[in-house]
Amino acid sequence: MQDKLTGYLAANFPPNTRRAPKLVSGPIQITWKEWVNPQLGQRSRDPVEAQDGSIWWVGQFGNLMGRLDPKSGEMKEYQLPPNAMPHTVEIDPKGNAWFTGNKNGSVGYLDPKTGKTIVYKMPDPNAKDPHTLVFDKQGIAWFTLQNSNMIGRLNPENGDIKLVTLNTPGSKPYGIKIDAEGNPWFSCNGRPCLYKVDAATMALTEIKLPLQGTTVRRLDIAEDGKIWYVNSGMGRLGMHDPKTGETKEWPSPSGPRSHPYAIVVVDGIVWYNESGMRPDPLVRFDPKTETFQSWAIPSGNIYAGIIRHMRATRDGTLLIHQSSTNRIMQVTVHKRAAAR
Amino acid sequence: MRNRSAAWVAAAALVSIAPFAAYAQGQPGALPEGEAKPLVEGLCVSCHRTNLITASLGYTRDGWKELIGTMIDRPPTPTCRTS
Ligand code: HEC
Repeated sequence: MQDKLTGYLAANFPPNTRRAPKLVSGPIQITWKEWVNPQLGQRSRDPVEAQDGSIWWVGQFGNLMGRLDPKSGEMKEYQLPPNAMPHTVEIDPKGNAWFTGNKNGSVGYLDPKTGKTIVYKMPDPNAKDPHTLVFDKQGIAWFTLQNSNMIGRLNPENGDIKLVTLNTPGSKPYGIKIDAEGNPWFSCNGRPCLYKVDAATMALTEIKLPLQGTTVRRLDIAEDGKIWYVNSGMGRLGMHDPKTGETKEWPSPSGPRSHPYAIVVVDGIVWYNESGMRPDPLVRFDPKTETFQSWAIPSGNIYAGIIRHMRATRDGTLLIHQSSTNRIMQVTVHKRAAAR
Repeated sequence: MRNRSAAWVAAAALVSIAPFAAYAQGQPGALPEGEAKPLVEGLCVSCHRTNLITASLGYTRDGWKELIGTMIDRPPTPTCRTS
């Protein structure tokens, strides 16, 4: 049966270059490490490091959260409440693993010590799809609700949830990060905008992005306060400087259909992926020299896709994943011998 | 492990109803005719649509084996896990 299946697939869908990326060579060397998650086809995504060095991820289709010990390679998967269909996992200051219940309007966490799951339902029936979540330094959880067009704030001390709906329908709040002053910023996957949230009042300030057609999956904030974002809709990388108000964009190497998706800034270097291409490239951008370098992300002996969210570990490695091939991965960037 | 074999059984059961879920020719994700077309329609649409297959990078036989080994279980268990 499987021979018939693979024979049919190989005959009808042999290797092609229809979505081939433009890979850019360069001097930086990286090493990939991968772990294949136990439950098949789970849509593994969003790996993140906890304080104890373990790595958590979610299986969105598998309705599960997983914990990996990167030293031993041991993995444990925890089934989540029915229909949570977790979009992401984030670790709170106490080491609890929080998930967003993207299909059942909830946010919850798993206490790894007890294995118990605590769930908070959204207080508004219109708040249907908690999406990406981050903690501020006070331990408050901030999260986006893409299709509900809201952002939320949850206080884990008392379970209190506050929600704010955006004025413009279809803005699709997506990625969210906290700046050095403790104010959240989020990006719009529905139109050309970024927003700053006043952490005290939840008042929203919109930053309009320059190009029509811009949609922004994710953003990250560099140490110097600059906001880096992917212009997913137009295949570009962008930077907004809140200090000067300047916004600048660069075409991504693989062009307008490259659909940049996940993004993280580590030690002043911007990393993102071009999810519209196959293979799915990991791209490095050095803001000082304004130069790119990119690599095709391998999955065992093959290539597929895609990274949907990436974060750094404390020691500066990148945690990425491939949602198609059930893998979470770690990228180590080699230190260059010559001082810069 | 429990989930892997369950997925296989559920997917195999779908094969029999596959013709009713057939994608019309010419639509995005439409599958070419072939002996294994019902198999794909049965096994491969429970998690996503066939457009992921038709728009994929394409693979050799070994490549397809490795790719779908990360999604469905196919006895005998292939090398779909690292140890
Ligand atoms: C148990 C769930 C499941 C089943 C069954 C399944 N897949 Fe998938 N497949 C996935 C997931 C999850 C993804 C990634 C989807 C995403 O991230 O949007 C994926 C993605 C893909 C991709 C895109 C790869 C890329 O990124 O370019 C192809 C091709 C594919 N599947 C082929 C198949 C075929 C062929 C079958 C049937 C033999 C199949 N799938 C059955 C879960 C499954």
